[in-house]
Amino acid sequence: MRCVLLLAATVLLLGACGSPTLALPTPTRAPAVVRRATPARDTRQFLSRPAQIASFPAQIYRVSIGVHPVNGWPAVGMLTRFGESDTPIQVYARVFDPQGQAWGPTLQLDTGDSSCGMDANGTVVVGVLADRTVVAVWGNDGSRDGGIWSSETRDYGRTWSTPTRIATGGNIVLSIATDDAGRAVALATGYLRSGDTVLARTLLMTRSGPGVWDVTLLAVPAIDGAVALADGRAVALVATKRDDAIVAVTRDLTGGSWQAQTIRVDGALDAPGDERADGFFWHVNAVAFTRQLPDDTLQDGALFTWTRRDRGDVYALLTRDAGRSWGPIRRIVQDLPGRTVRYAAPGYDASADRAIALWTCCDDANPTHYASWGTLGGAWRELSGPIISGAARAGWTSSAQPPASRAIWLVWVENDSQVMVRTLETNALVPVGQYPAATPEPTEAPVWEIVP
Amino acid sequence: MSSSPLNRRTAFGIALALVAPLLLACIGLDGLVGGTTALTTSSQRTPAWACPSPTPKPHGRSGNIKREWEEPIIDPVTGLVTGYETFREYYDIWEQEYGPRGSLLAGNPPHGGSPFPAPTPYTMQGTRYVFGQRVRIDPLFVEINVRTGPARGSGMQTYVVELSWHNPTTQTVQIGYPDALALTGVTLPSGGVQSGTWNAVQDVDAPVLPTRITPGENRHSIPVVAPVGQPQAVALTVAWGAAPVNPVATPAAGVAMPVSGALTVAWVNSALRIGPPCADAGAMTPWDTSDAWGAAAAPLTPVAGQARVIQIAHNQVGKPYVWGAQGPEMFDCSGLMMWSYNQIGVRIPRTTATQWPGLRPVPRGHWVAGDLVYMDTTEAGRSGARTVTHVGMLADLDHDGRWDLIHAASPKFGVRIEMDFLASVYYGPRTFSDGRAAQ
Repeated sequence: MRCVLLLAATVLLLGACGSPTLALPTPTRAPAVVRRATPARDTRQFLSRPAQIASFPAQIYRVSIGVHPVNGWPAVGMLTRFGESDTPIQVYARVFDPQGQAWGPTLQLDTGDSSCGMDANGTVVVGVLADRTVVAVWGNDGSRDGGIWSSETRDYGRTWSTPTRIATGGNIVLSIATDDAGRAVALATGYLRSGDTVLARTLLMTRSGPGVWDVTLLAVPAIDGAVALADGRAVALVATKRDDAIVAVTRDLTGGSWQAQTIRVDGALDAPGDERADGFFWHVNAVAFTRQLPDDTLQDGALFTWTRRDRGDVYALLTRDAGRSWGPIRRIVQDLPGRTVRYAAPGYDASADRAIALWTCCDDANPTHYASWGTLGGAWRELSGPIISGAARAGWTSSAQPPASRAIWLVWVENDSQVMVRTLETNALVPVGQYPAATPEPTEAPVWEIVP
Repeated sequence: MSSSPLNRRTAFGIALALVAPLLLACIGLDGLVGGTTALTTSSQRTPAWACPSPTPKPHGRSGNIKREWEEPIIDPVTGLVTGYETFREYYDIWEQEYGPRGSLLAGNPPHGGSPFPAPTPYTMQGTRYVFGQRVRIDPLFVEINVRTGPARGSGMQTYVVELSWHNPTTQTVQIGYPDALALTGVTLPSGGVQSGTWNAVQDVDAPVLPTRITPGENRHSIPVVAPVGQPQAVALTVAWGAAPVNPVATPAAGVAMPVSGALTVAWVNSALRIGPPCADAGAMTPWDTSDAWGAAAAPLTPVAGQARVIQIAHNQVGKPYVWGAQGPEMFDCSGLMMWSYNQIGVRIPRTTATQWPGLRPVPRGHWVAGDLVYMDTTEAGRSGARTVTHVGMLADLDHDGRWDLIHAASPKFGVRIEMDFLASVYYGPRTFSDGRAAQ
């Protein structure tokens, strides 16, 4: 280093004297405007190889993953039970510490009255706020209106706040989304008893402070769904036990009320005479993304993917303007005989401006991960063969991706009782030919770029 | 950078694990115990637990009377009968699952009055059990319990995992506890559970972790350091003996698909909630209904230098004991002897009571491998009574000059081996006679 400084000082001194005696390339300023492949900050510092982050002695019912909306470090929620079938389901969470570069402890969260109860359909979701607070939200036992509970950690999961009941009238938390402005919105479903009738409802919960959430009940009978935050708006997609339509629910988080609209599928999904059980939509997942348009303006959108019960097809729905308008529902993976696709998770490659879907298939006994990619609003293609996720027997699969990252965090249940995470770089999924050709900008001399 | 004591201990442990097999090979310990093998289980046999009986009966003098009779009291001087003394025979611990006088058998097979009805075991298979259950991880059986130890500071605590191994083979099995054993869950004082992987460590109480599971019974106490609390779950990981099922293709990117090739069995702190209560930690035979009851019941290697009849009997180790069974899927004690000798063309009587008088007596000093020894396993047997109730086959499987016994022991233990059985406080005093089937 001393030598470099000495050399630099010598060069400057010689230059100042106006009598260069050393032939050096002329330093040239880099162009003022650098076109970035990705619009903002990179998160490659948090790439991860396949890693087992938890192993339980029993079945894991569900996993979810959330990532920091800017820096992309993850937190994972898990649902399992340690004991026999008449012992309660338990909620666990584990958070990655970006400073220590290590995962924190795996701790049970649903202690005391917040116990998840016996209902194996319970859920847990985790969201990472911009201020590095990690929020876990889970539902209580469906056999009693135990409500929806939340706990938060500010030390990367080493300690968690006492669980707080943030809503009643619901018990199945479906999704949570955060953005770089510090907002968090969770989507849940539940059942309201009205006389002898039990009505399913959709709960939309907006975090207004630690342990405080504003709850809105909508008369949409959700069985599954996902929410994304884009352009200051909450954009949710709700499956309602139908296979011919899905419901979009949106709200401007700076004001206004929730709006719902039904988006229908073009045509029938099953051939006439198909005697399989109802193939209603489920396992909805979402990702928010930011596109850089040719005029350098940015556009915030969201991509949703989902599957159908006991079927082999995957669907995608896109909004390029944060839910103000929607494209058509696309069947991006066909329902081929003999294969079942249970889980699908979306991603986005900003450099190629391509949508991505990861999905589990095809050997029912030993499913692994496959992938598709497509242009926004255009055709989709399947990658041939499985991707190299590291899964040999993949169960519940979910993903998360910050809007400005090219790393998709994938979490899945491996072999029923292990939780695996890894990142997948989107450029390993989108073919090379889909990226724009490099356009060299003419310069008079070589550019020296100093990489910090 | 200085290494921590733990790291140094770990390094020492690794070095020891690497060197120990070489040392053992040099000094010939392997030869003493009939060979050494790594703990590898068969992917064809799921880990299982079996209750010998869901309705165990009390045994011994606290249990039911099995037989009661009177014998005359004779005056030694006059030779006259001066009265009658009542004798009672009680069910042995082996017979605790049997109904009184064979009532559960209801005449099938036709041994009416015998106190040996068929046991009524039930089983569970899978990879999750509760503390205190003895699980078959083929070819071994292991019961796991955990107790808390002293606090270590910094919120950590020592736990001691107690493993009771039963190795029915003649092979010593190697085990590397730091990799194979872990505490995977702790119930914290707050009431919540912390999940994790806290591996076995060398400790002041266990400066060198055991690495060998010898034939017969082994008790290992393995320390683990984990957060303060109560033990919630333990995981034991062993290698599969066969290739993993359906490895997934890896078509691109040159990234190898991780294939575990390992089987993890968990014990959790919970009550057993299937089936009726079971007073037993678990049977030492499979008791499953699969075809594993057949010839593949025990993956034992032939014992070098032993007679054919011993090889045959030895290959039945691990099969269930069912009273009246004559093989080849299950045996009772005399049935195993008869079937084994039948395989080499020697016919011997069927029952223990008829085998004993039907064979040529052999003085103890002239025993040879393959001879049969008879025992009185009744309550009175220890004191020198002469009721033949059990039979086994002599062998010196580990060539140590001491007699081992191959026998169909009981519903709980099945067909198994007693190494150096005359030194056993149970079998030694009860052995009183012998017979030679082959000339």
